[in-house]
Parts: sequence; C-alpha cells; structure tokens
Amino acid sequence: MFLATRNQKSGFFWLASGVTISYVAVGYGLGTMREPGPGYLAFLTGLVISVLSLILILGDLRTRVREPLRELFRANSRRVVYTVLALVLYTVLLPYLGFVVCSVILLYGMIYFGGKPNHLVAGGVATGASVLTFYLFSRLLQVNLPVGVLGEWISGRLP
Amino acid sequence: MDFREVAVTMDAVLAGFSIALQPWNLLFCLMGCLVGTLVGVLPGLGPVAAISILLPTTFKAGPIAGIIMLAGIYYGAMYGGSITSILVNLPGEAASVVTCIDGYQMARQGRAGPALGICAIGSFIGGTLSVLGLMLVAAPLADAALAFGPPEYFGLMTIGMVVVTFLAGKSMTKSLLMAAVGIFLGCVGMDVISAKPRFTLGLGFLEDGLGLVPVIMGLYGIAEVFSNLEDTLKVSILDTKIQGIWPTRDDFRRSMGPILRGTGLGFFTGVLPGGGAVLSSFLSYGMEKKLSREPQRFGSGAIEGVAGPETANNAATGGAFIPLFILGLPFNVVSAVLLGAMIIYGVRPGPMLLSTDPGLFWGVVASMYVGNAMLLVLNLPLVGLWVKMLKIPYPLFFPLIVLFCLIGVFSINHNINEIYVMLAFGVVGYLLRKFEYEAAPLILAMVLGPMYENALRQSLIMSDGSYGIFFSRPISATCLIFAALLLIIPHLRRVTLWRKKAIEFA
Repeated sequence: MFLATRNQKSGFFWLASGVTISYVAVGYGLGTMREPGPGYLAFLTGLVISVLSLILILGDLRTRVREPLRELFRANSRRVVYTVLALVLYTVLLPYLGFVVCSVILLYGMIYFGGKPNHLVAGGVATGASVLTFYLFSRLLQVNLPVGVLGEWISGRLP
Repeated sequence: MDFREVAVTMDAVLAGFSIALQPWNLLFCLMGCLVGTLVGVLPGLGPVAAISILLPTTFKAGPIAGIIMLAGIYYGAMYGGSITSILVNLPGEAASVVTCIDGYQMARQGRAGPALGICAIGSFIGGTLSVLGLMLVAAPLADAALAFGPPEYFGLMTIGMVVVTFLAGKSMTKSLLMAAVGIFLGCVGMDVISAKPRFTLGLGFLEDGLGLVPVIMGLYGIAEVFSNLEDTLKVSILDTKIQGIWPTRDDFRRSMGPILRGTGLGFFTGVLPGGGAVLSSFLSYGMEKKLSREPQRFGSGAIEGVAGPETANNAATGGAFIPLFILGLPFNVVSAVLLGAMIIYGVRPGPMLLSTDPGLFWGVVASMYVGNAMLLVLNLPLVGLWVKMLKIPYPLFFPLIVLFCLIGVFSINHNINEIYVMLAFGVVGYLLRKFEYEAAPLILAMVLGPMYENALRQSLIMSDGSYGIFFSRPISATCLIFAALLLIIPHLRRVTLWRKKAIEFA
C-alpha cells in the first residue's frame, strides 16, 4: 500500500520538498560549470533530497507493515499541540505584555498542567524563575527584554 | 619539532596559563564545568542544547571567557554523564551509554564509589593528556593547513559529513537526507558572490541566513521538551551509599591500561572527521573487552569497562578541538555549535588563529587543563548534590528549559522572529524524532553548508569547471574516495547478505 509506513510518509514529504527546492533554485540561476550561480548547490541538494526520498518510498514498497499516523502520535500528543499554541501565543504577546508577565503565565500553565502540583508551588516557581531570569538578563547581561505593561515599574524596583 | 619551536610553544603555553588563571576566566571555567556536569547528569539535555541555550549568557564576558565556559560545558558533560550511568543506569548523554553496562553493575555490587572515582581519574588523565596532544599538534598542523585550498576543504567537509551520517542512526539514507537538508538550510540567505537573497520567503531577517542558535535550540531543546511531554521519564536512583570513592590498588592495576589506551584512542577518534566522544567510548569498550584475559567479566561490573570508555570520551573532546581550531572545520555536532558560537563572538578559527589570536587559542587550551583539575577536585565531593538534582520533578524542570530557550534566542539579536524560527524547528525536531530521523547530520551540514558551497564554487572556478580538480589533489582525492567507500560499504554488506540468502534458497 502506498504511503503505509512512516518512511514512505516522510519520504513523500521530502520528495515534494526536494523537487520544490530544485525548482526554486533554477530561478536563482544555476550559472555555468566554470562559474556556478547562486542556485547551483541548492539545485544539486534538491536533487539529492528527491533521490534519497524516492529510495525511502520505494524501499518500503513491499512491506506489509502499516503505520497509521494515529499510532505515531499518542494521546499525550495533545499536550504537545497545546504547548506549541501556548508558545506561539507567548511570542505574539511578548512585545505587549512584556517578558515577566508572559513568562509567569506560561510557566505557571506548563508547571500546573504538566505535573499538577498545588497552585502555590506552580505560582511560586513561575514567578520566581521569571523575575530572576529577567533580573539576570536585563541587569547583569544588559539584554533589552520587553518590559510591556509593567513598564518602568519593574525596572525601577530591581536593584 | 626542533628546540626553538618547543621553546616558542612553551612560551605560548605559559602565556595561555596566565590568561586562563585570570579570576574572570577561572570563574567562567568553573561555571562551565559545573553546568556541564549538571547537563551531563540530567538525562535528556545534552551538551549541544546546553551550549546553545547558555551561549547568550556569555556575550558580555568576551570571546575568551565565553569559549572557556562553553568548552567547560562540553568536557564537564562528559564527566557528568557517567554519574547517571552508574547510579541510575540511564546515560546522561550519549557518550556515557557504554558506562551503564559495567558501571551500574558495580553500583549494584556496592562499588558505586570506586566506579565514580575511576571515572573522575580517567576523565582527568584522558582530558589533560589530550590537551597536551592538542598543544603538540596545533602548530605543525596549522603550518600544513596553510597550504590547503578550496578542493582540500571541500574533501575534508565531505568526509566529515559522510562519517557523521555513517555513524548516526539506523538508516544511512535518512541520515544522508538530513545532511542534504542541512546543506540546503545553509544556503538560505544572501549569496556571498552575487548578493542575491535565496529562499528567504520575502522575510528580511532571513537574508542573513537562518540563525544556528534558534535552529539548534529548536531541534534539541524545544523538541526534547515536546518529546518529554508525551513520555514521562521516571528516574529510580539506586539506593546505595556512596562510600570509598578512591579505587583500590587492584582497581588501579586493572584500570591503568584501559585509561592509557582510552586516552590515545579517544584523542585520535576526536581528531577524525565524524569521530568524537560517542564513537570513542564504544570503540574503547570493544577494545578492552577484546584485549582482556577475562572478557566474561565485562557486563558484570568490570572496572576496565568503566575506566576505558570514560577516559576515551574525555580525551576525544581535546582531540575534537584540533580540526575546529586549526582547520576551522567542525567534525562533530558539538564542535559545530562551538564554531557557531565563535563566529558570533567574531572569532574566525582556522590556520591563522594561532598567529592572529594566540591569546584566545592558548588561553582556551590552558583552561582545559584547569577545568579538568576542577572537575576532579569538585565533582567527587559533589556527587551527592548531583544525585539530588536528579530528583527534581520533570514538570518543574522542563518549563525552565523552555524559558531559557526563549530568552536565549531573543537575546542574540533582540529579534522576536527568531523565536518563531526556534518554535518551528522545535516542531520539526519533534516530528523528526517521531519519524526516526537524526538531527546531528542536519546541524553539522547546516554549519558547514556556506563553507561547503564556497569551496565547491571556488574549486570549479579554479579548474575551469572541471570536477577533476578534486581527484588531482591527494588530500581531497583521499577524502572523497574514503567518503565514497563509506557510502558503498553498507550496501556491499547487504549485497553479500542477499547473495547468501539466494545461495541458501537455491
């Protein structure tokens, strides 16, 4: 069966990627053998990716093993999806809410939903770690972290 | 090496020590050793992720202190990994996998102390002797490397990538595919010759190329967190009292041979393209078992099976610095990350490093001696503390890794887009693990990608478009033929098996 195994599924993805890379690379100019252009190596790389992915797909053509995507991702995979969404939200909100507020919320959520300790432990660790890293990076290492809604309030209170 | 050269080298070494022993550099060396040991102790987070996560914390320190700390993380992790291997039967990092076999058995027999002790002693001897080797080889190799042209570099990079793909993972096809993807990722950004942006998707921040740190943090740090969200790691520490860390006279007698052999083997494996701590530890274990008069003891608590591999993996770290510093070529993933870090600091390793920045080179080399001594003095009394660190619940630990990744990526260029890049590669890394792909060839190829492209294009320009240039020069020809053999050998074995099966069937 076509695309039955994980090698075939991923191979198909890489085949599409390889063909796309080579196609786009042609647009950048392959140049000549005497003077290779900006697309030369990328074109060759795309070809190599395509050939290797074909080997992956064809290598499993006779196998009777079935590996549905459902089996690759367990019930806990939902946690991964929620964490990715939380991290994207964190990045979107970072310039507006600032590093400390965003980090406290993110860490609290990850600690609480990750291990179900009591709210005090989760809140304490989240707040402590966020403030400490903010202090370390913004004051000691001079990194301009976004302060967001806390503005000068937080900067003024840290030694 | 004549007397004058020895005197010049000794002068440089002394100057290196004067740099390494400055309080600021000592502090960073200590921090690197401690963090490295911690990283080695904690399963999951390896030196690659740790170096990239902690890279931004070294920016204010300057290149010498920064590289001293990152190098400390590297060799500290080698030692730290052995602690979990012995006490928990869980390797803290890949180079300590072999130590589990006899180290854990020793711990079960109530001999965790001597096992940890011989690890520390072996690591110290291996680490310091390999640094000595690095000192001796550096100057002559740098002179020889000045004659290397683009075809030689192309050959060396090819063999480096092929050996890494040969050793990584079960499937060579998948590893090669990852290396090809890595080269492609290295092509993203402005072309240095035509100044044309490539594969940037119209995003301005990609014109400088994909940042190495966001990619590594994504593939190693964030992907590790995602994987652990699915599988809860349960660590059960052996309930044993660690006492009598100093090995007995018999232990020393049995271990001295493996330690000396492990030093030589580790050093040379570290220098080789694609070699490194993992390969050297496996080779050392195999060699000791072969050489032993009682091979049946291996697997049931033979101290030789701990002493050899642990010495070899530390000696390999010294060896791995040779191609990195002298040729400017990383031959394993940790070196690739270190090269990325050096480029961020504005340091360009290569044959000229010894003459343009001798303070940096000899300062870092001398700090490795100091760091190895620190590891020996500090870590044995701190074993109890490291064991306690293992008891930190993972749900408390992993969010902190995420936080450090987020802040680390942001602090490099103060660019939020790089956080998105890290998250994207975190998802990619998670999927690669699901579909059983190794990230190591991708990282190495991505770092080498731009140099690889330049070497290829310059070579073709030099030869008027003829690929024959790679085979007309001895170094590049040897490298490419060896690389081709490595690609063919696995298939030959398969061909032999098919033939065997066909004969049996007939």
